[in-house]
Amino acid sequence: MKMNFIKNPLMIFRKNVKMADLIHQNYLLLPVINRFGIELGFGDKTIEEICNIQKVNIDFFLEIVNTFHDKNYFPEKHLQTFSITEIVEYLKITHEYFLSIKLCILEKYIDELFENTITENREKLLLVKNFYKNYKNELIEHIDRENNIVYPYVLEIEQIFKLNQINEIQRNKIKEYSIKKYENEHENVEEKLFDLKNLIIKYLPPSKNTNISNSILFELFELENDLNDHQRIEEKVLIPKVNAMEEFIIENL
Amino acid sequence: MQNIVILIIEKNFLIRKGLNCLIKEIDSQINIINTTTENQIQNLLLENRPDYILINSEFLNSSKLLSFIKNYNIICIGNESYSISNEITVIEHINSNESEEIIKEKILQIFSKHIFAKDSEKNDELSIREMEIVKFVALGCTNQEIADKLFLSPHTVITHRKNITKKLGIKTVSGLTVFAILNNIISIDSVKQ
Repeated sequence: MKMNFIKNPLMIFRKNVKMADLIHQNYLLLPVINRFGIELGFGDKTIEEICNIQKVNIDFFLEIVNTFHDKNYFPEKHLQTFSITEIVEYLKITHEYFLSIKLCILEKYIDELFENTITENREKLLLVKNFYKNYKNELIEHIDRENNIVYPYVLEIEQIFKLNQINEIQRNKIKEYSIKKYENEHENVEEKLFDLKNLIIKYLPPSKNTNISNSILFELFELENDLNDHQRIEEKVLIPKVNAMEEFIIENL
Repeated sequence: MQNIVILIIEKNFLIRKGLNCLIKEIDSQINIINTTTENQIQNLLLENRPDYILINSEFLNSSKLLSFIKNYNIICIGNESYSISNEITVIEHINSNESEEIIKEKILQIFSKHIFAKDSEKNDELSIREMEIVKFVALGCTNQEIADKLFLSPHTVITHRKNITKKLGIKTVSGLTVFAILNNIISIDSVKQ
């Protein structure tokens, strides 16, 4: 048998894998499957069975799960075959998860850490707390802009593309705001997250309760992982797809 | 590179000799240990703790041997077709038909990463100059302002800042400010003003 030399043997989930096994393989996928409306208690059902019950597009589900699970697996071209509506819906739910769950948990832990820090060190911790707040605000701002400007725009582009007709208002909009522009302003909130991790790992004075610092770091690493995946879908799937549609519209309509 | 230790497991005398020469050509200080059988491998591993193992693919059929070497960086020597167990990590594959340039390039690639890893382990303390620069960055100075204050070229300041980021693992200005206060490089009051 001839085999390629793959550094990390690729494990791809297929439709006949049991949903429970998927979670055993990578528990970080739990929030990802939740985004498709799939919740715990799946017994021995396979991915396919559950997707059928929940009326989830299994192709899309598998690609999202596999790209999240393995960074080396990223079938750009196949991902680009899914509709913008579908992709945006997933991205929006991910945003919702960041905002209403992740950031809240982090905030709770950071408050707890503050309470567990001796008075002399509180002033220092306050700095990190403020740093987190700034990061949080930037992330929220970033998410709001995507939800309120970018996503409605790309959905409209898809609509124009589908109907094969465009009105003057829309034409001006494309001229004014192309997805390329969004790509440029896609700023790096991730740098702050990177710093926050190192400030806590390397430079923060120890607190009375190490477990809380650990919990914060677990949350941060997980958030980072999820954000990177989210950003990769935007940059490698959504933007090129919209970009191609824009070009078609400008040339043909 | 003198810290690198390599274990070569190869029966064929010519190939073994060839690999030794090639590696010595790249860096004569590299420590190479040779063996032709799998009998002594466990001891050799314990005594020498090699950074890399160059092993002929023929040996990879032995599951006993695989269990010994599974936590090491493995470079495989052999022809095109052979199978490899998932248990081990093969970081590179050298084919005995390949040209000198290709094999050299592969080995160099591996070592250059190694040097980088070793370098970043030590030497992550800030120098006095870097500390000064952190102070000014934390206080909100631009690169140009720092250059003027310290009589450096802006280009030098940028280089210092890149090194600081690498050493501290902090990229943003606000992150550096927090770092500077946490480490008493600047006082909280000086930022508030």
